[in-house]
Amino acid sequence: MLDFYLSYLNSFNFFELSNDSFFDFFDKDFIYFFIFFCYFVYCKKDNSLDSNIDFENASLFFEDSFFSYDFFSYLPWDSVSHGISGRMFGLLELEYPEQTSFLASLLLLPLFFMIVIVLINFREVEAIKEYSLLSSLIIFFYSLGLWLGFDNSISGFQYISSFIWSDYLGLSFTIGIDFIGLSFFVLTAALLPLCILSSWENIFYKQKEYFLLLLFIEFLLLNFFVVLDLVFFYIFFESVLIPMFILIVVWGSRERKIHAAFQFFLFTLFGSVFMILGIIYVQSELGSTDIQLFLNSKFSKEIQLFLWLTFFIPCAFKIPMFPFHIWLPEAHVEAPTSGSVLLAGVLLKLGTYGILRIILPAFDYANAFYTPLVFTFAILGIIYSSCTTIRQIDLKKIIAYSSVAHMNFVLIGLYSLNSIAISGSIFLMLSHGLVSSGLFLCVGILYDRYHTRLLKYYGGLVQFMPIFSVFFLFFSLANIGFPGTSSFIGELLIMVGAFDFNIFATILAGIGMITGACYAMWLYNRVVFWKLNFNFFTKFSDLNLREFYILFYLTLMIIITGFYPNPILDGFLLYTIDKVLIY
Amino acid sequence: MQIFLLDSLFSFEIFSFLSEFYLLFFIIILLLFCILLSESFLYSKVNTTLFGIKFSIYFFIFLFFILFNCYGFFENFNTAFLFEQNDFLFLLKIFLVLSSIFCFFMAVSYFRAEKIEFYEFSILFLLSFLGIFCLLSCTDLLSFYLSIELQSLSFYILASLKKDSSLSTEAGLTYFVLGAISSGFLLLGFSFIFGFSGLTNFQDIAVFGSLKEFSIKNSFLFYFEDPSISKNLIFYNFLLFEFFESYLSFEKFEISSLNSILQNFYGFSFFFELSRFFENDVQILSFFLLLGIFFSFIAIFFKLGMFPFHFWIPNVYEGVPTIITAIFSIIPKIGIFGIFLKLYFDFFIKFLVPSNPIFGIDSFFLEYLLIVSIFSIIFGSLGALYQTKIKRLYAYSAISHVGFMGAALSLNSFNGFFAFFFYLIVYVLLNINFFLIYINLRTFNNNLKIKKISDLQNLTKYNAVLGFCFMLNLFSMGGVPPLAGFFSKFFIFSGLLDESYFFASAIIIAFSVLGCFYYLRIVKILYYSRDDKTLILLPISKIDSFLIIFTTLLNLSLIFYPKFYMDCAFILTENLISNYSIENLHSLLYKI
Repeated sequence: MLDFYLSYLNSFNFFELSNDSFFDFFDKDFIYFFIFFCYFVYCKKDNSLDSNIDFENASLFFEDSFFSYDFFSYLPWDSVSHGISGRMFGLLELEYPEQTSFLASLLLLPLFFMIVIVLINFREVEAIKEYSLLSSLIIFFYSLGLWLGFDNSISGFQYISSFIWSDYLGLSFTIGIDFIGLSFFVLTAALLPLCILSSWENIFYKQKEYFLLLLFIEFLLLNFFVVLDLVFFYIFFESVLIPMFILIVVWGSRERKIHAAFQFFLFTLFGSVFMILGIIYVQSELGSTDIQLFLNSKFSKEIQLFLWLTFFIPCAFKIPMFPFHIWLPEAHVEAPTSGSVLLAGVLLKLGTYGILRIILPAFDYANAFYTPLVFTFAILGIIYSSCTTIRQIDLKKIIAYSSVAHMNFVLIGLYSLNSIAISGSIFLMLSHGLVSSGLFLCVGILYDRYHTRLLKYYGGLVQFMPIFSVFFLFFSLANIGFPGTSSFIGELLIMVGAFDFNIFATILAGIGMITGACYAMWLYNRVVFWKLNFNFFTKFSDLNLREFYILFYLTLMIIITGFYPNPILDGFLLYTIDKVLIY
Repeated sequence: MQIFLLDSLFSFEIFSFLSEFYLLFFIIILLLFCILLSESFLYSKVNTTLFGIKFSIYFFIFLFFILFNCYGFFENFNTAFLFEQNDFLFLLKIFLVLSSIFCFFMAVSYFRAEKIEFYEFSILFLLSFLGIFCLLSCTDLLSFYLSIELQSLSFYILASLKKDSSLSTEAGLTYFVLGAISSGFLLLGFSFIFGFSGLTNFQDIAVFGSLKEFSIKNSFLFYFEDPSISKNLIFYNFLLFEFFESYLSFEKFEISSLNSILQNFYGFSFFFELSRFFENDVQILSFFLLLGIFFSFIAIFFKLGMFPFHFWIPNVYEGVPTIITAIFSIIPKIGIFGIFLKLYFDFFIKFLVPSNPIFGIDSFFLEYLLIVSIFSIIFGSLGALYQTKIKRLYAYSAISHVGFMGAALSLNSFNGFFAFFFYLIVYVLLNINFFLIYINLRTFNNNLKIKKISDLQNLTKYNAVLGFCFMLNLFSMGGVPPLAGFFSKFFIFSGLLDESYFFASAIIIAFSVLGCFYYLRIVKILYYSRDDKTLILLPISKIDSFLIIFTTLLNLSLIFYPKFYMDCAFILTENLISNYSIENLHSLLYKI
């Protein structure tokens, strides 16, 4: 089967838009290796059972490399024996002398690669691009290694390390990972090579700063999903604004980007300041802002109502929930392709991750109290954004509004407060990260060729871009929630869980999904199957190898998780039962 | 007091003031040298201005080390002398010296570019520096006034440095007139304090103000909380007797006599109305004592730029030469806040709190400070929104920063002082960075400065690193994580909410978000503009670029290595509390 597919690939004539020799490395044998590796990672067994892979002799990672001196331990599964000697990790002091810090060294990798890119001359664009791609792939493989060393049978945080940030304040930079954080971590690490590949030939000026910014955003996002302290949670929650602002302002496509960037920055900043109040209140009550301590403590009912608001409003701005959603269509449309991919794939999840990590486990009374409010706004968001998507004329705006609808659907799932719905919503988050990224990448491919996003100029693409049409169809079906794709599983589970909670709400949400089908199919028909207008199109080229690889890997992940979600879904179910619904 | 002065000539206590004497000595030498140099045939070959500045840089490095040699901190030093020295002041002076070194590096590039021949700049700056050193060390109303006038007069002249620019002259004149008025209010306040207590030393006034009960009768019974002060009983007893002798009879005290005297003096019955609140003589004394202290606030708030007295700042900061703006925004903030802390939070706080029972008039000093700070933040944030010139926008943001620092001080707790010192350190760092960048922006063709914000457009296209550093500085001033400015604001919010000032912190948060907007607008202009015009700038000298990068890295490094800043702030608060406020030490430590 694979041979047939590969021969089909080799027979097709790609128009090479780039003359790089870099991709010679990624020939057909590499596909075997990559598929095998992904399958291997995906279906790994529990560490407690006897596995059929011999970890000790597997030499995927170097043992005697440059980085394996005393400070760092780069082997995820052997993290106990390769411990850290010495009390210092760089400038920060370790809180426990015997702890290891594989996670911290992984988090510092983007910074190291950034330093190397700074030293490259700004004229050598090819070197910068190749180096940044290589660095993002290294980070991705290391995060897969993190997954390998992860023990599914334990509940609680793993790879915990803690650095004393300030002994006067009692703040320590604690990092640790559990299954939710791990899945978002791997998602971020996986999306970044795709971002870098998609901006291979889009960026015509300041390439060095661009790739530096992308790596910096990755650093901040990876940090966000592993911190276990409220103050640092807030810091990384808000730090992403600066690089995203610059990304939109400098590399956006048209005049409205300024308006979009200002709106994005100020909306999110205004929402975030509420969290400061909550964090300071928690600090004064509990004496420290450690998340593990915070999750195990009980607050009185009135205090819960107040704290819920202070933590929910910033997340609501980022999700984005209905009254505060207006920054999303603007920012997604005006950002460059990789900016949109990162925004849709990861930045929208910051809000829901905040809900999962902080709000759902800690505030039992407040969650039940505010559920009708959340449901109202979420359903309003779904129906309103789905209806308004139908009349949009800008390709990216359609996908942006569909992101709003999906994320509000996730919100419904989260606030149904049963384990099926919550695990479905986490799954839908992950799949939305893949699907929206795929859609934005497709639109980015069209924009690279024709430099317009208006629907009236597009039509009849299938006649000369058949492979693109297949991928675009696939992503559109995934957007709708077609069975076989991962979003179907997410939406199904959410519907089941929400039906348990409130039938009327589920019906209304379902109406939103139907309108989703409406706009997605209509969009696809107009773009791919309508009549071709030769006045506007002078360039006819199907996908080149780079674009093919970007879309191919995304579809692969969507199909695999759509047909075999067990490894991820079981983890989510366990997590929700252990952590979220433990009242 | 004369007795003690003679004594000091024959003791080695004079070494405590080694730094002040060295400074004075250096000023005289430098003045003589510059005068002789300007009259000599070398005048055309040597730029006296730059020579004076560079010489002063070396001097400051020496001064930094000399400060460490100031020993002789006697505990009873401040009871009788005009000046004192202790650990807290030593640390503040170190901080001042380090900031001044950066100011002088800015001055080198400024004067080289402007080609101004004004060697008196170094002399005047050093004189004002001497004024601030003496101000920090003062313990007496007299030395306070003399030092503040020395500093102010030097600044008035520095403000009108450019004699051929009407803008600069007008700004200097504005500053002079308003500063003179504020000094007048200061003197009025001090005259009230002296008139109603007969004392000029701060320690004596503090003792006088903390009297628990006194009655002006034959017996002259006094009751002090701290029995160790009883040895001064006879001294104060005698003064008060002298003071009230002319107004009182020995048998009975009548309030109407004092009021009628005041009515005749002022010509209206203002005090007659107030006399309803005065039940005994102590309250008159306390009223005028408080009034005197509140009048002296006017001078302090004027120099800092706090709310009711901030109107001069945009005009003067815009009009004076840029190097003087830098000096105005960095040096007095440290000095005046230092004396503010020392005076109002140690000596006067003993009777400025409403908990003092015998004073029927409640003093809302701390709440007043908080309200003034909130209004500073509001007016600073709102005022900056419509500005098109960089220096005016900077002036309004300086007003708002001073408001934040005042809000931190109003908490009167260890956390409050810690937040204040942290904010001050970060603020000075950001200012140094801002001015190092701004002073070095000069157009290539005409060597002109950049005045408008729109002239900054597309700076990153010309020089990416400079734009990046400027962007980090602006975001840090706006308070966006993960930069240094965010943490300074976070500690202030933390302190405010601990004291349950919810409404105040809500207003402050809202206006700080508003403040972030105008910084964001400058960042957008730096990175993108509709027309592709970009000004071509002169290259920046090596040492200035090194200093810009150094301060930017300090700005960025807080998230990774906060211990440095926290230790600095911690040491400052610890020394403040141990050198002053010994009575409050116990309660302050347990209020953390």
